[in-house]
Amino acid sequence: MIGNDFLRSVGLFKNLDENQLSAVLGCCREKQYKSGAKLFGEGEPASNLYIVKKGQVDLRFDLPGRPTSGKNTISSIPESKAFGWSSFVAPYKYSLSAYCASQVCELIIVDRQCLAGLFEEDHRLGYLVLSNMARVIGKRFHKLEKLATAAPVSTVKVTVHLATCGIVAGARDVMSALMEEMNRSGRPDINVGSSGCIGKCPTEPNVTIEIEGEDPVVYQKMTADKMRQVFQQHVLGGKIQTDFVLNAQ
Amino acid sequence: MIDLEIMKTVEALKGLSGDQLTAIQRCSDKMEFNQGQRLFSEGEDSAHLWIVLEGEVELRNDRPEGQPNPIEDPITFISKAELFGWSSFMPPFKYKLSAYCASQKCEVARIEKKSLVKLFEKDADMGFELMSHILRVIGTHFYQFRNGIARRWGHDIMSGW
Repeated sequence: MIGNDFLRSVGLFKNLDENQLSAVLGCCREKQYKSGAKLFGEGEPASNLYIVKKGQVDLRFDLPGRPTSGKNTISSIPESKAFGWSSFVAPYKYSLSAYCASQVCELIIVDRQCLAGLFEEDHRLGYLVLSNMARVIGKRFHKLEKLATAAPVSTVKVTVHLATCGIVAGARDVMSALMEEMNRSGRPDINVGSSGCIGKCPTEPNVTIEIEGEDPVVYQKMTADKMRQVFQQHVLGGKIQTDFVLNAQ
Repeated sequence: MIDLEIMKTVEALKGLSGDQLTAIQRCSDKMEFNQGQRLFSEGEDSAHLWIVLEGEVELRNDRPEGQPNPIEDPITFISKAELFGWSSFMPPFKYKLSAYCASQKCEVARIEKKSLVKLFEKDADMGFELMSHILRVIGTHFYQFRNGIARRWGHDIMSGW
């Protein structure tokens, strides 16, 4: 069960005193979701705020007749962050769908009506939470603006070759480093995937970077550190790291 | 200082008492602009909330030609007794659009954000009332922006690479 300590670590409840945190706690319940599960759908009445206790949640737009995927992700919400602020803004409907994007998602669900009732009883609590919420929205707004001007969707693919030979050579560490960089980058539009061996077992772990309009680049003998460098310099910065490229010499 | 009678007609301030309006009035100053003059520029530190007292103000994007455009640029006209400059309440605390006087003359009031926050800290009723309004405006702008991005990305996927 969560307590005041957890709520205190959530930006949305910054500067609340013990009594106020306890009151908010009374509006919370916990729920677990499995990977891929849909928490709520676009257009549904927004009756809750959510906080990620463990895992990651993707906010995605749905496309008619197409399955959901990372390509549809507008924002990824990591641990201790809140989402579902549409519950406090007209027309009080979720503007995107939310999916559990990690193996398991543990979420705190905050009942909107209960929280709004607390605001009416204690205007200072209301003022603090709404000010924090404006900051959260502001940061997401700014991040999305940067993302929207950075690159069109799905123009970058990063593939880690995860066959047995690659795994033995350390491809899982490479994939972990890649996922860490992805989370830090705030670029859910970059498509990350895995595939089998490319027939170059002695050069594993191999990673292929595909950027629309450019020739694919295969990197060899990758490590976690090299992956971080390639991600920063090539994927985000456009500079091919020739020292690590397969058959570049 | 702003005329209290005009302040009473501002939608965002309608729930406030006479004393609360007077407190806000003390953190404000009046300015005049001619048609085409700029009140503030996109990207400048947003340290004020603004109210149109007379005339009309246009909010628009000053993005130079060739710079990427995330979604269609909004052009908004702000009329008498309307508030603008909400970006002063959200990070990165920079104006998202530039403001120009769109009528022959514009009379506007500036309310210093720092002083306003101090008032909110002292008077939580006022803070709650105004933050509720500010959040609605900020939320609506974000909602529209995010929907625009989702539509554009959705179109890219459907016509797909």
